[in-house]
Amino acid sequence: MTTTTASRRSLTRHLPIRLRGQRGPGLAVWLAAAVVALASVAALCASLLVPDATHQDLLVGITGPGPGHPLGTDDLGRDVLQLLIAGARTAVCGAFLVATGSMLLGNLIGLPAGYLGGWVDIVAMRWADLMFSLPSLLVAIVVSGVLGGGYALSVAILVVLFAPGDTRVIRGAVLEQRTRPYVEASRLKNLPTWRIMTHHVWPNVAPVAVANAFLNFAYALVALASLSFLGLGVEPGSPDWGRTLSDNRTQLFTNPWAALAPGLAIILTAAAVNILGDWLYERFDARGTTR
Amino acid sequence: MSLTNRATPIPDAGPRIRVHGLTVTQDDPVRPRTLLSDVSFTVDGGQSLAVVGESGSGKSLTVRAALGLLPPGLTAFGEVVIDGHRVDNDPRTRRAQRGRVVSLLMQDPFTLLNPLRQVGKQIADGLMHSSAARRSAAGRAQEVARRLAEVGLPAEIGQRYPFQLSGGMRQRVGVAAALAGDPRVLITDEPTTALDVTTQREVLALIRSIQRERGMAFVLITHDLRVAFSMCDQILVLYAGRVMETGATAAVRERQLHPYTHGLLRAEPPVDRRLAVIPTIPGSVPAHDDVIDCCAFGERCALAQERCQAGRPVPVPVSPGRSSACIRVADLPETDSTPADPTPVAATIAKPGGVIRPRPALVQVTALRKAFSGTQHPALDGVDLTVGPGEAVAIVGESGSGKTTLARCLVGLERPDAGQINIGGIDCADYARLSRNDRIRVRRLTQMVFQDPYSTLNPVLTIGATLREALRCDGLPADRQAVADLLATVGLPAEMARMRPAGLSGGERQRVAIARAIAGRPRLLICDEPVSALDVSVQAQVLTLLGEVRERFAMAMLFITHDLAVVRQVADHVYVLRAGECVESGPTGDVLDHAHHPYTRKLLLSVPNPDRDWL
Repeated sequence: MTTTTASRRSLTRHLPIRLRGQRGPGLAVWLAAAVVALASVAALCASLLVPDATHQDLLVGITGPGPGHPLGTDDLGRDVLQLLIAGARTAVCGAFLVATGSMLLGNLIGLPAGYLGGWVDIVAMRWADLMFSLPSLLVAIVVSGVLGGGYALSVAILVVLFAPGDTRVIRGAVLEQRTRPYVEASRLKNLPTWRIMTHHVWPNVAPVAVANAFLNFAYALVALASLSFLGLGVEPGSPDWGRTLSDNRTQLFTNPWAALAPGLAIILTAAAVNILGDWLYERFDARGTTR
Repeated sequence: MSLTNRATPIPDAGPRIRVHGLTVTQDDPVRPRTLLSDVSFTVDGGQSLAVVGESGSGKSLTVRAALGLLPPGLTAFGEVVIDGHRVDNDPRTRRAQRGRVVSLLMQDPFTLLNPLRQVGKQIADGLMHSSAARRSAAGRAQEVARRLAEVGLPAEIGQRYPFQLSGGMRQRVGVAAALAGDPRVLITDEPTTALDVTTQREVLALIRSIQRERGMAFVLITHDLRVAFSMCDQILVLYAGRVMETGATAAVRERQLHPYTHGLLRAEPPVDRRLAVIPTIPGSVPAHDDVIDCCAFGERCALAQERCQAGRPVPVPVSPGRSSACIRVADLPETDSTPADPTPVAATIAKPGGVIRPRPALVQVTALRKAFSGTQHPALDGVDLTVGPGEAVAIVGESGSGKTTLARCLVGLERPDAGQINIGGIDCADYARLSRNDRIRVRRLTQMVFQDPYSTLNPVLTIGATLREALRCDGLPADRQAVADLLATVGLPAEMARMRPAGLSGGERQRVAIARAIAGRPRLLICDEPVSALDVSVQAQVLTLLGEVRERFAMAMLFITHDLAVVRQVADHVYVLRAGECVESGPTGDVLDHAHHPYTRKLLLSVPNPDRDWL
């Protein structure tokens, strides 16, 4: 009997935390995952799924949802559903690039700023303050307007504009970890500073960084759409959620689906990514908080 | 409601609080759990009960369930009668009773008061039923002053904010606030655990005297049997969510009728003598549901037999007023009248004229000073310290005495403002100026064990990865065998290398931290309160382990602690620090047996003592 109780206890102890009586993902998380999966498939396989999404048929013109065109067609006779699928490519990929790019930049600056302190911290934080003091969307509009716009430029501008937020978040998380005994113990072991930063501190702030990247993804999706809406993102005529929304906004009352569908796609994807990010954060962070 | 009718006081006889068959479950859809089962007790007016147990035993849960203060997700079953009213199924009465009939004093004085309000106002919140307080602001102020005086504070304290008060003063304010509604039942949850030892004694004495004066029924939750003995009439020992033993204090002190109670009392090291072996209880507290069909203590019990595992023992009356859940109660050794009594050996013999200390010193600290910006007093104000090779030295003092700062200066985590530090012939006053080779040498000479077992290990690394890195840093091969050997040195199984810290208990984590520190066989191990966050039974295990590794590797050890009983067990030489100054130092036996400085004497008196007259 002793052995059975002992082994029962140690068995549960050896299990990874996530298997030990933690609740599974709820319905909202599953739905969010489904939305993100759909958007990703559309983004990656758009050219296969809808090779001629921008095909115009002026003779068809505006039609409501019906057979052949589940979401109807817009004023140029383009199929709205096909536009939606094709538009995922620029909308989702761009947002993904912005979120990852700013996360990388934020980590590269925030980790040394938080851990080393001193002038590194001062320079990094004043830079972040400066960036925060600028109205970001306005800067993006001005810069891409002056440099001639374009999709790649919009993405690059957004990376630079989003990075200070990431930097601050990472720095804050690093400051919290820096004084923990496990970091001090590594210092006492004479570990090189870069190794303490990358090997000890970073894995413990990574959940924060990832969660923040998910948040940024949603913001970037909306920001890119806004730039495209203003005509500063993708080329005119190319399928993109923001662009389609902009092109079709005049039909909002006559042909609502042509404008609502891309709008809803933006909102749903942004919300889904947020929910998923929240859930991932809670799941990964449980590792550190479990006593 | 009759319970608010103060004109007809309920006679003092009869139970003020009666709890019967209290059980707490967690309603998790995936894994429902029981956390506490079948706890019953009764406290009469003017009587007091101590609920004693280690962390995870369910003592806080017991009073929270009894008061209807469980967090969401937990459900309590069982009968709770407070002041003659059954309240477990009557939330309205329960709410009406709070503050006026029953009051709870929380553990942490640093968070129990609202930081944005003057403490006088917070006491006045509970006074609203009294006519004088209701009538006028002046009457209220007078009443607040009277309440402050009752807890030994001057009236002007009422104008202050919590952050302007020390921990002890805050807990006194907490007592005044808890008593503002003149409750008939006072429940305190580890009221002094967060306080310094000297303050603990004062606050405990205060609570006890007020409780007696007012004739309140009193429930004290504590992990310390010695505190329980000196505060309360009745003892209830909990373990893994179940009652192990109950009885009158005098009887329990005389003879423990459960091996757990006995072990718990023995594991508290005495301050007046050094033991050859500190008695330990092997293992750690199990979860309630892991020991559902056997004796909860069976796995750790020296007396366990086959039949202890056969079924779940329930507390049965043994003698009048006493019950024990041990089925072998008749076989318990009779002769254990003195609680902590395993082969006392002569304390370190105090030689007149001082003890010859090993030369040359391994660590030599001279006139060390360190002040933190924004504080009035320097943390260290000219401290001298010597640690010889292989010597165990303790630095003892309360919070704010500078003991931790001293340790951190020694290892280079803080830079002293002035003074010399010499470790193994290297001048370490400023680690930033050391050459690379010197720094590596010093780091291999000195290592440190930190206080908090829950943040001392990197949560994302496995135990094996942590230890491999430690071995590599100290220039040793870091293979699987080396890690297994290191784990064996600290008494842990080799399989633990695959686990992450979250799966380990506090004691196990502290063992891993010790393994990490001793990986490169340092000549000096600095231990900063290594056992203060651990349960008593685990504390004894870790102290024993530290003694073993010290002997095995002939290390010097610098022990930072507030606990003189720990000092007595581990140290050859002791320094007493107060407010950054060393007030007394010498061989442990000399200092503890013939303390010269009043502060040392005060510290000695503050160590909880199972004798009735400690407070």
